[in-house]
Amino acid sequence: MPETKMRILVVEDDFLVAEMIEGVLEECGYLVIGKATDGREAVNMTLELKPDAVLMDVHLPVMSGLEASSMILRLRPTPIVVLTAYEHKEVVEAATRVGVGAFLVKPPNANSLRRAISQAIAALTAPK
Amino acid sequence: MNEELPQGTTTNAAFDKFDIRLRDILDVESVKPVMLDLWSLTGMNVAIIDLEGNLLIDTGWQDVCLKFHRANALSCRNCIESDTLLSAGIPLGEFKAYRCRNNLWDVATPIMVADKHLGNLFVGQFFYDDEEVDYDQFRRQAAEFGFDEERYLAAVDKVPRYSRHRVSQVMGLYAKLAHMISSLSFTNMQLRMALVEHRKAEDELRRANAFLDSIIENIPLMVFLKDAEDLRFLRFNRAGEALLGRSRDQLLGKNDYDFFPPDQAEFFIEKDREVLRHGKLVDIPEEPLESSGRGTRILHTLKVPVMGQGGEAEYLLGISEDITQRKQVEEALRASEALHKALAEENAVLLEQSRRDAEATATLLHEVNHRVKNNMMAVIGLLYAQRRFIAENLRADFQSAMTELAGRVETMALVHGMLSASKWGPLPMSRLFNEVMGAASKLVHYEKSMEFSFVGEDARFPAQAANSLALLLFELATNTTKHALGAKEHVRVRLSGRWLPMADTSDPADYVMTYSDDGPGFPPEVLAGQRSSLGIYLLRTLAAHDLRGALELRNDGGALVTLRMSSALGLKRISE
Repeated sequence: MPETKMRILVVEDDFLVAEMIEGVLEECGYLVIGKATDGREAVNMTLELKPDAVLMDVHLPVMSGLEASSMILRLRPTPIVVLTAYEHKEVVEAATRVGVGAFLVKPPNANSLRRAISQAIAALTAPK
Repeated sequence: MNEELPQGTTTNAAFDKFDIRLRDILDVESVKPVMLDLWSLTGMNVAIIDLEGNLLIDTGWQDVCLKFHRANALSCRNCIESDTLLSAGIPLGEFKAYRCRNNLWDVATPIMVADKHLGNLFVGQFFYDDEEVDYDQFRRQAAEFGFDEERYLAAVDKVPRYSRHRVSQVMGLYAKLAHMISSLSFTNMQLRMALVEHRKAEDELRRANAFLDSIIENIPLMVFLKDAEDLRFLRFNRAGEALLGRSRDQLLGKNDYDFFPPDQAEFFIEKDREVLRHGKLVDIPEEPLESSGRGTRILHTLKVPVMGQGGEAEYLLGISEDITQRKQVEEALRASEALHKALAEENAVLLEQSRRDAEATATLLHEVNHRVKNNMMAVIGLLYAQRRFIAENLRADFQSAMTELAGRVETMALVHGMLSASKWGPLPMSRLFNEVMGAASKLVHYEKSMEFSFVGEDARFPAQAANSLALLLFELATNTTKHALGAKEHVRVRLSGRWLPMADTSDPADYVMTYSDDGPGFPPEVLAGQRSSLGIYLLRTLAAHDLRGALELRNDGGALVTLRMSSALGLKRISE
């Protein structure tokens, strides 16, 4: 277990689903530093808390997950893993266009979550 | 005469082309009495002989010729040579006197038909009265041909003697007669040729009529002929008899009113009159006709006037095709088409409805899937939340129980996700194993490790069985993480599959799954069934109830669990 836990922001409008994601993240050894429930709050909390990675739901009130991801990547580039209910081709393409580095179909398990976060970090730090 | 003369052949050409002989055209019966009368008047023998030496008419013979010259083969040859060769080349109407090869005098005048020499008229077997008979010559002939000399010379003595003037006079007459015979024969020949040609024309006409009759008789359409004046039937063919169901004996001489209902007869007669009035073809595409025994037939009829030499219509010719069957087929096709169209329209509506229903069902299913998954995630979330609170206030055992519970629900959510991705199709055991082991790995303390592998033959599990198998595998994995990893830093887990060969191939094969780890194994009291836990209880229940299998727990270098399942559960070989 690393000395400093990786700090994660969870963006999910469904409170219990957010609880579940948090539980899995904690079991993997991550630290959930905050939970946002809409896109705008996600942008604000990212700018404020400066997480190491963001787990972003797609369908969110006020501002969609993809719009929020786009803004975050512009204002404070952060590794983002997009969580989708199903692997829709259109969502994946749209997310790729805004620069999201990894996708995960719900429910996430520990292994897939670890892999997706690593992938998002790699995508952001890779030379463009 | 050869009667096979071609039509239109001219007389001269006919002579050249065909072998016309005098005997074919000479009217012997008419000519012979005239010859006999002349013979009795002149006393001079006269004969008509053709170019082959055939005697056609003769009036009498001298003994010297009849009994000697013509009776002997050698001397007779002299006679024929004389009749043919010596008489050649005499112009018509003239005569020529010559001594025959047997040394009597003959005079010949030709009989010619259409410039062709066919025979000669002879006066002969005489001596001139101004000449001496050369008896030595006749004696030599008697010796040469073997005649009795005395009797032969006596016959020679009887040969008449005429003056040259008399011979000339008589031959003038005979030359004229021969000329007349020539003309008569020529006329005869022309007549006969005309007759032959006429007969040939008649034969041709008969043949042509027979051919036409045969066509009309055998054509598979009704053909009838009516008298233009009273519209009575004059002719009917076989197809007509069959169509009307009446013989031509019944039909001929009758009119339409004799057979058909008044309205039909009136229609037919009206059409007939229209044809005759306008003098041209009338096409009646459809007309009903009441047949005898075959019910109402539908006909397609053409009627045409047949004109006489005066330009007036003499007959009315009708040709009818029985189109009843075709009409019935057309009718049936139309009905069938209408039915098909109606069915197609109905099918299109049903198809559209089904498509919409399917779309609605798919959307609903999608939504339900999403909700189920979300709810499971929510349940897991609840368990995690509960655990946090327990962690602060209660014992560590509760925390562990909550973690296991969350793991079980997570496993259910995991399989749900896999099944909905596969549209609820069967899932391979190897894949379920890998996913479940991945989920169970989170239970492993970070300072320890667990590796897992699948070997052997794989099997596909239908949705319900896949769910139960995943839970069973999760319990086994939980057992390994709790007990095996409690005692060791690193454990190896192995899952293997095997299809059992069956004695009778008609029986479905059994599938055996074996799970093993290299930990300390099950405690003896668990193997003896003296101690249980929720995990063990779930293992046994899932195996016996949901998977209808035989579960065996034992220790063999670690915990070893064998589950034998019947393929009646719906298991399929991965290659199937």
